[in-house]
Amino acid sequence: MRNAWVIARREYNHYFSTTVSYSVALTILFVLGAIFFLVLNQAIQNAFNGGSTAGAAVAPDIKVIAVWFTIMSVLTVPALTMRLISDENRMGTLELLLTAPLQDWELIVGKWLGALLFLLTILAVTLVYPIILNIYETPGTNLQWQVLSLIILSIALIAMFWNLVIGERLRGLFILFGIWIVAIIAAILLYKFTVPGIDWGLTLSIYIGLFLVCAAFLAIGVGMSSLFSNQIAAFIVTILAFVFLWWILGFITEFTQGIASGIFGYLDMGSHFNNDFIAGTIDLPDLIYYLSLTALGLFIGTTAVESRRWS
Amino acid sequence: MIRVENLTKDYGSRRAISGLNFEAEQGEVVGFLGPNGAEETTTIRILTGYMPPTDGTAIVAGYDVVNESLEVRRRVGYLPETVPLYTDMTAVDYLQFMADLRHIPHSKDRAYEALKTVGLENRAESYIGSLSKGMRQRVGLAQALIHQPEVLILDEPTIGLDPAQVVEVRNVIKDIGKQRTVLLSTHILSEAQQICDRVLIINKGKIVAEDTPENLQSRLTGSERVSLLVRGEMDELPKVLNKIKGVQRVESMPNGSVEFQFAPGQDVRPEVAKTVIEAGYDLLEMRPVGMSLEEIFLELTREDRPVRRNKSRGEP
Ligand SMILES: Nc1ncnc2c1ncn2[C@@H]1O[C@H](COP(=O)(O)OP(=O)(O)OP(=O)(O)O)[C@@H](O)[C@H]1O
Ligand SMILES: [Mg+2]
Repeated sequence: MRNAWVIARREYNHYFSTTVSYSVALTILFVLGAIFFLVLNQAIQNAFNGGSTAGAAVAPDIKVIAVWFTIMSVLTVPALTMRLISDENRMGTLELLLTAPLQDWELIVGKWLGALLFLLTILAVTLVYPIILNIYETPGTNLQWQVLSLIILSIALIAMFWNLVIGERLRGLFILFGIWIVAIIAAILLYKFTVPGIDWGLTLSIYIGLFLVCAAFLAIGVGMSSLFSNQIAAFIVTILAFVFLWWILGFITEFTQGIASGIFGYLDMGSHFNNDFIAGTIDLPDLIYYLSLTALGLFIGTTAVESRRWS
Repeated sequence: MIRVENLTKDYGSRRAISGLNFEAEQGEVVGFLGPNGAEETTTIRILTGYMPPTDGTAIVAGYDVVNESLEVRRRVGYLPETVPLYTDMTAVDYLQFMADLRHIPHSKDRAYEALKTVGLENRAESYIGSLSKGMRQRVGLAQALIHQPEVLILDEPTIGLDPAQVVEVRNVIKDIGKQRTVLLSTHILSEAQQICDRVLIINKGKIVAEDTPENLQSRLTGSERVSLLVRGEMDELPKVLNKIKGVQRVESMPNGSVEFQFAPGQDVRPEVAKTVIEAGYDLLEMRPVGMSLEEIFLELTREDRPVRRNKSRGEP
């Protein structure tokens, strides 16, 4: 496992030296930022109309952001994973890794973990949205808490970016995560005991769901990257696999009935997230589904690397 | 220690290596010599655990390369032919990464030490992509040395180095070879002659000769050859020499000298000297000429030559 961590660390650092990964990060964050602006705008409109119309104002939440994060993942994760193994093969460094004292699965898990840490860094930045929503949700009340959470937010972001800039990338990520966890626990406590803000239980469920989706996508990506010697081929096959798992299986489910529909429905990667995690329910079948998909991706990767030795 | 028994490797339906046998002991530098495509790299890749053989066994550092691959890989330092490096890392980061994979404590210090061994300490912070080919070669060598391996396997280690560096690197290898086992492949025959205790000549996946560089020379010719330089009537000289008993294969060389040979144990040189002087020639030079390793190599790997296995051990 220690070797996997050594590989993951190198891989994580490597993402900060390629333009592809910066483009992916910027695209995801730009799209989410634009969507968030629209969501907030809509919520403000609703709030103004809320008094005059019958129903209460619809409370804004981060569901839309989460859905768009998954859509962006389908489209961009293949670009993050395509080179993981195929590039090692192209540069000949695979020979180095395969003659070093590490197991084939450690190599695959390390690659996957490195990519996961990078995607989680992007995901961590999106945590500003629930915090901003929370501030918006409870205007005027508990002003000192609002200011405090804003300060925490700023410190966390500055700390992360500073550490990224000076090259201590993992430390930056860990500082960010550490502060977020404290902030979320504080927010949940606040929500429970003082003022009602956004639903933090729901937010937590959504982020757990996103984490599992990322893990599964990246594992499949690593698997595909080790099947193909060419990274463009790996990219195309990975994105096709994602589109199939995330959308096409959903269509198939709708056009089938009975047992077949049940099976396709369970295999449909999107439904587990869009029906359960996003509604705040975490069921065992959902967990099992994403974890086994992750394991399958890592297994394909390990087998592919092993079979390269025998070719 | 390396022990290879009956090693066989098929690439698809093509038999690349067939029944390879050899050994390399601790404290020995063994050179692997062969023409392009002779399967040196294939053999080396099997010994380093990169790919398994089709048949036969290979024991490296006391462990089987198939069943105990991880143990072998812990104890072997390997410089692949392609010198794979991460060009986006600095030399020291790269070495630290490789050292971390081997769980070496104080990996950063060790990385600097390894760079010092190959004379690159002043480029430690340079990105590998910005280093010259020879420098990259040395970073690759540092990577192979970083864990002070029991067995060092180098695939053409001195390619692309400048003459001064070639000497340096050869000394490093020789030094390591005093206590550990070194197997290196090379096309530079003088290199093999210089640093190898033993040479394996391989062709088409088979060993065609195996001995010390010196023994190979004398065994292959099976006789001693002498070059003779005189002043006088040159056209007559071969006739004069041919009359002497024991003198064989007299040849006039383009540089004006004459070469002949005699069977070991029947030294004809005193007789030749006397005869030549009596015939009125001035004797300028008489010296033994060995067949160079180049010639041996060409001779052994010639297409039309029937493949013959030589083993030094247990043979007179
Ligand atoms: N993975 C592979 N699959 C099929 N054939 C291969 C493979 N790797 C090498 N070969 C073939 O095996 C032969 C020997 O290759 P190898 O690299 O061992 O040669 P070599 O003796 O090291 O040559 P050189 O002296 O040029 O380095 C070549 O014809 C090569 O094409
Ligand atoms: Mg070779």
